Amino acid sequence: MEFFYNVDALSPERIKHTFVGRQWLLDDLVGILKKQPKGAGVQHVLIVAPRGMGKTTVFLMLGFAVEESPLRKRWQVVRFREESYSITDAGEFWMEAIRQLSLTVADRELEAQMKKLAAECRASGELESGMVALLKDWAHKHRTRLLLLVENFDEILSQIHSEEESSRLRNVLMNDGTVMLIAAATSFFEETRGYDKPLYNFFKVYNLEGLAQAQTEELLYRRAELDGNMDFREYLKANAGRVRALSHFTGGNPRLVLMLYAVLADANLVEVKTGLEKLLDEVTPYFKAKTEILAPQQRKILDQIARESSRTSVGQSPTAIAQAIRLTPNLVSSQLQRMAKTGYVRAVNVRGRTGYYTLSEPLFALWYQMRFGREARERMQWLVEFLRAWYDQRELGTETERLCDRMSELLMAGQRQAVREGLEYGRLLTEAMTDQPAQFRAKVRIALHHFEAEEWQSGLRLLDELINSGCQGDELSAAYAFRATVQAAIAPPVDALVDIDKALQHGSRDVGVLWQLKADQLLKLERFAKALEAADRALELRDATADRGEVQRVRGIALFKVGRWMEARAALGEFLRIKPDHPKADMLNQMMRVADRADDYERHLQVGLQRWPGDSFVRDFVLSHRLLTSVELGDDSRIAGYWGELSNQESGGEWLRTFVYVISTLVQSSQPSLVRKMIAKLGDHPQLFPLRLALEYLDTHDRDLIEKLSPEVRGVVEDIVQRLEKQ
Amino acid sequence: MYNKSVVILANQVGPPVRGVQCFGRDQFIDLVWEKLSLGHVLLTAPRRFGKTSIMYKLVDEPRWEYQALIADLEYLREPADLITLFTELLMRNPVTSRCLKGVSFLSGRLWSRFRESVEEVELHKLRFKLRDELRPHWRESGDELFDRLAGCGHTIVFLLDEFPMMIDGMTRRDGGVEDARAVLRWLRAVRQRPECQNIRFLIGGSVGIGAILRKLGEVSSINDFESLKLEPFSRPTALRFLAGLAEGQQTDLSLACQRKMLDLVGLPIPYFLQVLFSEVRKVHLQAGTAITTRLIERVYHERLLGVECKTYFDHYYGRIRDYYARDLERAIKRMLREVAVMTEVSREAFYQIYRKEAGASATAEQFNDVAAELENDFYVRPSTDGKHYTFACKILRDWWLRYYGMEYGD
Repeated sequence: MEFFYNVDALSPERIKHTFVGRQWLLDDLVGILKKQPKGAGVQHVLIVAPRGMGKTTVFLMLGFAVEESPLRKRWQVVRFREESYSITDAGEFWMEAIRQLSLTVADRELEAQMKKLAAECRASGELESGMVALLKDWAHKHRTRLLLLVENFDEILSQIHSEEESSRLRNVLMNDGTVMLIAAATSFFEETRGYDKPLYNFFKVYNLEGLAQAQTEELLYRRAELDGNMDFREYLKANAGRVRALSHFTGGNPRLVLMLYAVLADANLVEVKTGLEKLLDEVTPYFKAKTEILAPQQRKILDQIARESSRTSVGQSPTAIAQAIRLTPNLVSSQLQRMAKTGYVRAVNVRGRTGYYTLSEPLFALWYQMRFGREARERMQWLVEFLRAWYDQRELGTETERLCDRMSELLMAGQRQAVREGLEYGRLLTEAMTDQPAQFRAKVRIALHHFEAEEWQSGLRLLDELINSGCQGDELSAAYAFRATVQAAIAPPVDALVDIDKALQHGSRDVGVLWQLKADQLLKLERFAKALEAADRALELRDATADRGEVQRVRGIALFKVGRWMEARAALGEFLRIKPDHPKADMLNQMMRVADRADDYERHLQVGLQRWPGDSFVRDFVLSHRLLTSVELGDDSRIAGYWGELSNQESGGEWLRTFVYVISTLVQSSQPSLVRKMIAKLGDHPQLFPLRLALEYLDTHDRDLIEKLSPEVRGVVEDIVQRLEKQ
Repeated sequence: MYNKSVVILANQVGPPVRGVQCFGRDQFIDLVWEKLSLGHVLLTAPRRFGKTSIMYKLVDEPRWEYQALIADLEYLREPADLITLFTELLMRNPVTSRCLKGVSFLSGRLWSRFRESVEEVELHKLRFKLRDELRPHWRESGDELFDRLAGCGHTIVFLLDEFPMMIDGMTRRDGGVEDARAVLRWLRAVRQRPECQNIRFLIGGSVGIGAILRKLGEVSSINDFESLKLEPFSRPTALRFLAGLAEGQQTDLSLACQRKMLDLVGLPIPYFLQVLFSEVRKVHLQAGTAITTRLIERVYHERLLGVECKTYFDHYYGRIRDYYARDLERAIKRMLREVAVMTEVSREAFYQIYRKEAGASATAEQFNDVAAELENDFYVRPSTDGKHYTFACKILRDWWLRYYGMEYGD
């Protein structure tokens, strides 16, 4: 059971065992105690330190030191409760001392005397005088002196809030040797630093600073010893970076060191994040209270420093802060000095006239970023900083690998939400890397997992981050190539082409596959000639990255579309040889047959034209055939060209007869769709009206369609219908 | 190794030091006794200079047949408190308590209880009973008290610590201004009484008594006091002081390090030496590093002049705002900035800055007063020929430069 906030609930052995880095102070305090003069002139002490820095532990240890030495005959330790809300004047301060004394020594009579005397006192001064008298009598009777250990003394004085009452306290402390006061406070407060205040520089002050790294290590070791973990020193040796991280983020604050230790000691990878969030959640009441007691201007300054330091990790000058939050530099400067005194900020430079300030506790900065960060990225920056300090660079790489392996397992198990969260954490791990090549590799790997999980946009964002991260050379071109590959799979071809071209411009090593992808995208855009060029380029490079079979597929289709039948047939044949089991093998085989046939027709047409060069039927026959092939290939420019040649002749309707003949003889009955496609392509041309009507009749067998036509048109339609029906 | 020939000193901060711990003030103590033998003494010095320790030295080692009684007056708020305190002081002293037998406000029973009471609670009850009885006629009772003392055969020295604070505190209460004036006038009348030639007062106070009395229009009420100013140490005394501190704290501090400390602090004000020594020792203990001149220099710049120790010096700046009118405050701050930045400023230039900032009505006489007060409060000191001013203390100048040097030109 941990008692992070109630140290006195721990056993004396436990407290002594984990007392680290403060022995010098304990020795000093014992030394002062031993040398105190008998009467007036007792040296009083003020220990100033932020919460959790070990003030209570020092008090407890001092108590043990007195009790376990001859000093116990001369000094009676009286420890105030940590919170003394009821004290509002000097009289009540001494009443509390008597109350605690009577509890400590189990002297019920003393408490009864106190109550009786207090009831007789009418004014504060009288109460104070009476209580001091009672204490002195008790001390005299027991031949001892009182060592008062008072925590939160600043709060007590602020509750008292009276110079007259402070003067009374001072009078007793300075001019009477009965009491030695060791007070503790979280800051060096106004009542002790105001020149005109009774307690001005009255105390011997000790500032408790954070534990040094070696002391943090010792504290962790001793804490682990209590857990029976005797190998922990070896573990610490092997994980010096983690001790550094603990030391840095906790500012050497022993309470925070132990809290972090508790959540991180055995935590696995994902638990580090969860554990830290839990810790930051646990310290929220403390840090929240700490923030809320600030004046509005000070909170504004704190906010500015916290946000800026999350970005830059450097201190800021009062002038820069003033500019950012629109206050005057003088005002900011004076507020910063106050905040430095109260332990919120510290100057990062100590020489020079211009101070640069940062938050004094890194954990406070983390907490602040997590809680008040304005963007998600800003809110998570704290974790990146922690990870950077917690893991060394090699470990970050290993942890990313492990995470990715785990993600693959989770993906296979269908746990998509867990994968999503894991990958997000993986991104933070990669953010923490400072070794750029390793970071690049890790990010690419994380991106890959995003794509495997079909988290396309997350993966692309990560690639964009890589591209915009300032990486150069191979890394930049590889990032572009990766992005282009993904875009080729998911984006509209036009967008994919932009990425492919960028990757090619950046001199990617994977140039073969890029040309392959480019050919594919151009094919999708029906830019067959360009697609063919790109595919040819991919083949020419003889680059192992390109999929030669795939290139042949693209190439074959493109050749087919431009009417280069034999080449198309060869390319498609090559593709089917390499990939006979391709899912679209049937369709491609069909294309090969069409190409064969088209090549056959074309050769026969060429023969006819050579044999009857001036024959209009042959010419119309050839034009009609080419027109249909162009429709089949989707070659719009050729369609328009052939149609123009056919329809603009002076031979009256002869060409139409030939055209219909071609349709009826060449078009298989299974392909009326091709005819319709052709009619749609050619538009609402009046010369095609009979053909369109004939097709409609064949679809519907609605005799009225023909009956209502004029006799001359009806004859043409019936003729076409007859011809088509024969087929 | 530790030098066994030096005095062992505790690095005591705040409360008065007693016995051998009251170091380096023997000649000053002689001077105080000499002045007390002739009349009343006003002991001045900034806070933490050791005024109270001097007073305790007078109590612990009285001279001649003098009976020295010490009291801290800071928390007293009404005249009856003061007379009660005087009575209690006198009753606690076996020599003087006899004189009080039969005074009208102390019945025989009350007198006996005061003398015989060994219990503090009993004394406390008597104290408040007495105060209540004295309140309506404190002046008459006080006169009666001093009537009795006049014939006691001893010289009674009242060492009244934080006297100005008491007066100031009184003025803050309803009707307290009149009480404060009444106390000041009554005390002066007591001192003027021919039969009270065996009564001496030594009043001490760190907060400017002059300003408080001026505010009350009672400057003349203490013009029969001889003012003694507690000065900083001489350099040899300061060196012995540092050696004593080191010995007392079992800390190795070489002569070179001692000299370095003095060089850094400048004017050897004991409190500043104590603070520097204390900070150096803390670093030495916490970091486990030997004390070297380099370490001392680092601690001086990084800690003593840093934010952590800023409060030790803050009041030097704050006091100017508290004690002077706005125009004068601006003028003084400008003068101090100038002397901090320039190291040395001629008296003429000092005057011109003063005139420029304080306005056309500023006179040479006012300037002389201001310059004297700045000297008196250890801000500046004149050169031996009186023609130039420098900061009195190097540490203060360094501190001023660091925190206020940039305000130049405001």
